[in-house]
Amino acid sequence: MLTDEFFLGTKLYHNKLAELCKPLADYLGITQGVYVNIDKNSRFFGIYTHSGLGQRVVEEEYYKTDPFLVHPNNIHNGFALDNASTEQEFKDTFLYDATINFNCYHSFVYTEKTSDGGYYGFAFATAKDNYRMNNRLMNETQIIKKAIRDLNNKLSLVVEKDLQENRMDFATLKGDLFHQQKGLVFNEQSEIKSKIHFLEKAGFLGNSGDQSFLANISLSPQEINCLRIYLTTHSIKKVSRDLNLAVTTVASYVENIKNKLNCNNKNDLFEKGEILCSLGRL
Amino acid sequence: MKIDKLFIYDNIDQQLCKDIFKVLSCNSLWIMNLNNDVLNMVVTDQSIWGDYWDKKYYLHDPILNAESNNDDAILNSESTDDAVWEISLGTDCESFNQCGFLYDLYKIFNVEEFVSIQKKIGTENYCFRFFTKNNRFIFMNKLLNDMAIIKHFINLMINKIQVELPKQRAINTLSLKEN
Repeated sequence: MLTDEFFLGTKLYHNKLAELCKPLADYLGITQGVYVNIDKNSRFFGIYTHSGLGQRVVEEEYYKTDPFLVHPNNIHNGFALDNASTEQEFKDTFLYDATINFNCYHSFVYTEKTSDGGYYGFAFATAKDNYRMNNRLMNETQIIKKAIRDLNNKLSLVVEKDLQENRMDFATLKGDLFHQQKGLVFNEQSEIKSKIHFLEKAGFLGNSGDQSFLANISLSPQEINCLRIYLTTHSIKKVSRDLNLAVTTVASYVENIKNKLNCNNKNDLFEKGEILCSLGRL
Repeated sequence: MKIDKLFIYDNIDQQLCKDIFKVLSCNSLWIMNLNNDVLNMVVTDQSIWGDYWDKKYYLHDPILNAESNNDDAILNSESTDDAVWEISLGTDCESFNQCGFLYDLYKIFNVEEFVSIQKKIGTENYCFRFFTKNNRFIFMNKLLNDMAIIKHFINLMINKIQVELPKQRAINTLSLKEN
């Protein structure tokens, strides 16, 4: 049965995921975690640290309306609070049940595209009286992003074989909504236009004649991967390790990116890189 | 720290504020500049400020306490466990939904949430307090994903304020707190 396949990751690894999440869980006061990985062919692998919650998702078919589980084209990189979702059915069903019966009062997700055109994501939840999670999330966004990325690297080693062999066809399980639903993290075109308008008016593009910088910027997929990791690690060595590339190769990519973005120095690169993240370009 | 003077002025780049409001889905902004016992205020909405002032909510505002102004930080209404401020805000259990600054914000101004971003530059403390009438969580999503844009706005406004403040100081002086 497809639902058995959906639950396989939880059955095999819910304790392992909880163990790997522990440092982050202790820091943020997290009580529950979820990992999902959907590739470009709509094949899913996922783990719930709380097998009871995973079971409930299957029984009630909450995966059908969960905006965390969508086609990779419909989700972008970044953070989102579950309560920010405007999808009433999701809020009235899964979110309500998770809040009342599983003590998931505050929850957020982080999603990031993978180099194969899919995405991975983590969702974390905490109890009603824990305001530490959102507070630290707001104040230490970059540190938490890095910690989640490290968590993904560690977990990927554990589930490497399953990601190859034990994914399931999620489009069939979820139905039409899989291709239609917007993800929890989603940059609307109108929002991006507002950001570009603001950046132009705020003089972010400077007087260097690079008004078309944002519109015409063209980074290769590998340069995008490098920049995305470089922004959180600030280390060429760590980028080379994460992407399994030579340090000199990464250094050369970074130099190319600096030139393409008209950056004078490293800080300039970080600022422009973060802006590109905001615009959904990374 | 004793706060004994307050300056309010609205001679700021209103259009740029409107542009950032559109990006952040927010509706109003205060910029509080605390420097050597003097509070300088920039407000884009005088009505909210009037309520805060008339009802003396500022007396318990943690942003205006020296102890809480030591670090750069982002604070929302749930960030502090200062009991007096919680009562003032109305987030303590007894007065929630009955009175307090948050109650007023919602009932009178339809404001759902505010977030304060503190930044310290030398001896000066700046607090950018954004108010939103939209879903508070959507606003917080923007804080998580668009901080680079917000930082750019903040730096730009601080530069403007540092030029404008000396010119504006003579305009509007009020006593804020008694010794």
